[in-house]
Amino acid sequence: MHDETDETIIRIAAALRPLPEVDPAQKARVLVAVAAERERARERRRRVVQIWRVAGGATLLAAAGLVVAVSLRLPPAREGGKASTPTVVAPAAGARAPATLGATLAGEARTAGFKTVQVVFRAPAARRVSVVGDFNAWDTGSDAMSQDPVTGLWSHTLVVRPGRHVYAFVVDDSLWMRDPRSPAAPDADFGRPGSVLLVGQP
Amino acid sequence: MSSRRWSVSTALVPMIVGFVTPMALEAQQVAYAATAVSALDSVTQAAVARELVRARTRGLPVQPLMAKVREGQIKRAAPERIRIAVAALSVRLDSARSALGPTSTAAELVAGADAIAAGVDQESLRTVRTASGARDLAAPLGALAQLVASGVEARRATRMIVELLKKDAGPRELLAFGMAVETDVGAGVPAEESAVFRLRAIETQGVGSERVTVAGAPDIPLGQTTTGRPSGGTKRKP
Repeated sequence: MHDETDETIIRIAAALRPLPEVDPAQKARVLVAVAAERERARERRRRVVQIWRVAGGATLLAAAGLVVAVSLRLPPAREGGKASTPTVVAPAAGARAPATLGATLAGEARTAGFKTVQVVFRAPAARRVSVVGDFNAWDTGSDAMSQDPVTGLWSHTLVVRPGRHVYAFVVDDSLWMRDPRSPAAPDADFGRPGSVLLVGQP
Repeated sequence: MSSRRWSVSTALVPMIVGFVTPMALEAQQVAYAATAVSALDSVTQAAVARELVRARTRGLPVQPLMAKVREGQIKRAAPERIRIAVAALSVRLDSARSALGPTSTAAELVAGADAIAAGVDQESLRTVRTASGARDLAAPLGALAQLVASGVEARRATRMIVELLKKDAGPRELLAFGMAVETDVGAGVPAEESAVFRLRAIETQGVGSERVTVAGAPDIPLGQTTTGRPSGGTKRKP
């Protein structure tokens, strides 16, 4: 496009090629800012690690609390056979027991006005356990419990309105079990009592 | 017989879906409710259908009646008992609405019907409604039903619930009160004595205090509370 030998152009190019002189003070300010930003990034990483450590510790504590609560509230399993000793971890006074803490927070965030109640049931030999009650229209498919492979305990988190509810467990779609640790709910209609679950607001 | 059953089922399922859908139930529950009723024999289906139509016409919630059908099925009750139970629940829901007012929610009507089943009369329901004002009635009525089921005389239990409502007790206090009395009764304390003691404890410590809440926890027997035991201590006859 142009003649490289043109003297005018060569002079102009020569004048433009050298970098302008950098102000040492400005250079120092930039270096300080870069160092500060690097330190801030390091601090952010440290905080994330700390948060994960705290969260991990809290999870371990909650798990330990669950184990303790379950071991305190559950009677020992019967020897052999299909031991079916149900219990409900459901403090009427709110989410005070460790077993309900995590689930309660999650449930309230999902459905305002409702409360979560964790249900634990011991039936090592059962193939399927459901919680039924007025809160799920006595539907065995609504609140199926899941079994922990290590402990063999069945558990489930119910989402229920505050108030008085009647519930029971159905084992293998055939065995009706009320919770002996909760007050009995007489059943004048069908003669098969359930258990009372009183759920207050958080 | 089989063709009659088919025709009843065929007519019933869309009708049930039509009843329940406006109540904003989830699709799963709609399908479930329809299945529950269609599993009955044709005679019971027809009788239950009549009850549903009657309830719907009177503006009563239909879903609790469906749930009663399913409850009967899961408890392996005879069809005739299921029919009678559905009809009885329909009457209780109607009574509850008469007492609680036409603007009552479905949950309040169900709680009222449960309270009536426990032995609470309409006048008591009216009293609780008046004392509650605009607050939701499910918890007060649940606590009332529990007190009566525990053995506290209905009118006396109503006065206690009203007293707590006047002190702005919330659902947690009310239900903890009911549960505490039940726990005491299970431990052998006469229901009336326990109720008086627990009510006095709440009044002494103040509504909403942590100690009241703790005292109401199911696993804490009366003897462990810091305020002492109720007088007497004679065990309830089984």
